[in-house]
Amino acid sequence: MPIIFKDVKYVYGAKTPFEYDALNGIDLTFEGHKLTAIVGKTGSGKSTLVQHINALLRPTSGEVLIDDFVNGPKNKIKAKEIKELRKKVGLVFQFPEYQLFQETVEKDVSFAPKNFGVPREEAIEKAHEALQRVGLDESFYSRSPFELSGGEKRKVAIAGILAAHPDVLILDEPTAGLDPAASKETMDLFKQIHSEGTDVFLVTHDMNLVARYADRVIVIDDGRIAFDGDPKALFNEDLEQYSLDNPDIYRFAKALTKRGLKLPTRDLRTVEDLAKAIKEAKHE
Amino acid sequence: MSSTVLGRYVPYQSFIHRMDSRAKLFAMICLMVTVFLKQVNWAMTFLVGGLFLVFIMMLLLLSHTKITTFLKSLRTLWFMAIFLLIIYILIPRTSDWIAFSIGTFNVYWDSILDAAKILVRLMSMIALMLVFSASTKPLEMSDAFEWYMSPLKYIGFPSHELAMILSIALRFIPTILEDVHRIMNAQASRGVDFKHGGVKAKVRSVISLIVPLFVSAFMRSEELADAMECRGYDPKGKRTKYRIAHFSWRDLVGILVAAAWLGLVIASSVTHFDLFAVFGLEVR
Repeated sequence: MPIIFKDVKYVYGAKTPFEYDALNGIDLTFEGHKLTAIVGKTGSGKSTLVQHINALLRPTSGEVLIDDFVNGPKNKIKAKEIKELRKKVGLVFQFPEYQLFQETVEKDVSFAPKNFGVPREEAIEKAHEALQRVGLDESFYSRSPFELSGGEKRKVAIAGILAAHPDVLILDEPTAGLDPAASKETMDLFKQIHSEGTDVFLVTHDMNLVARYADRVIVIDDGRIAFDGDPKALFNEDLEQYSLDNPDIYRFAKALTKRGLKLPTRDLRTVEDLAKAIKEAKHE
Repeated sequence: MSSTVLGRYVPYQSFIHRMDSRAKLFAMICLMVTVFLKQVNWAMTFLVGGLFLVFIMMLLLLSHTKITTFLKSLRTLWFMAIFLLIIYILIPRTSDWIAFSIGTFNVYWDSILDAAKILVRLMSMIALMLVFSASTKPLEMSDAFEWYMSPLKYIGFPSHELAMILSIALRFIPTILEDVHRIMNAQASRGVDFKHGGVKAKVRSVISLIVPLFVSAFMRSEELADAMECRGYDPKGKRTKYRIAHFSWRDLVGILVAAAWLGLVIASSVTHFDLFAVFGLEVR
């Protein structure tokens, strides 16, 4: 789904002593089917940026085009159109487990499809399907979401968005606070969903995730776009100027190069990639 | 980072901001009392009420609170005004001052003016509260309350505990509001429409907000209690203060102005003073 940002500015608390420019003229175009990572330090405006895509925020100036939906500063949008947009654009917030409120897991997950006008039976079917996807079996359906563990709650919350079958999936720090295994499991699921044709946006400051999963990376710094392009190109830059770290494997590779090992230049995504590269370098 | 909240503390260095919170609270209470004093007739009631409103508007300006903020807070008063008017009209009266008649039912001027009087009182109270809350840090507020309650300690009244509860409650208002904002965004992404829809839809949407809000509020309170215990908090302990408030000329001026106004209004109320009669005008 094409998404275009045209000179978008967003100001929090305009005309008060708390005035704060969160976005300072963002021009962006998303067209191709790429898993896009949006990175930046805390308070850089990355979360503000993505909240424009499902019209939770209206730009102070400029506009955002999402397919044929126009999110401008003042244009009248009908409630129905907004619902239509939010059905297409699913947003998983940071710590999504805070959004759980129903008495059973099944009810909570079918909440979104029901809101988007899916009949009850079908919504529950979709909920079951989504729960299967995140790896929760039938035994969870009738349990209360509040008695689950943190990781399970997160899964239920994510299923609650997936059940609505959005065309665009925006993930705001989806792995924050998860243990490494659960974190990998979750990200692999999103990768899978992406490969099935959903546009995925990943908001994060974990560069390891970017190295491993992203096809395109956008760095936001002080409400402006500081970098837009291939992750590999970004990792060759000095990331400290954006208060970001290089991914572990790139740091490791750099340290090896510094000590005299000539690594073949290639796309490093996983530890296995790095291991292969080292092996090749040794054989030469 | 939510938008500005009504009556939130706004950091300026105005005369009112720099007043000692205890003196400010005393002056506030003096002024509030004047709102409820009875004057000899309608003309005097509205003269005093009107003068008082003008005075508070000056206070608003002095404390850098925007008049628009005040007007915004009045928007919800419309409903109240109409409700009051209906109630007062329905109250049976023995008066000969009839505004108009519907069939055999008489609508008296007294009813209409009574409703107007209450409205002026409410507006004055709201404006006063606004001045106080916008110019006083929550911490200073609770300090002032504690100071005024401290004599009660000798009869075993837990004044420190109450002040602590109060200051924690005040401290958490913005945090809870942020939670509200976050949960609303998350539920809106799941298709909840908080603005439109009938009563049933409204109830449903509010439940989706209230339940997670309670969950996170309880979690926060538990965490806070743990954190306080870890640092050895003991409500019975004797403590020192980091900020020591001093009585300054500002406080004297503030108290004198408020007390003078209170004195004037009491005097005019007790002596049934009628300014209009002085000029030989016959008013009701």
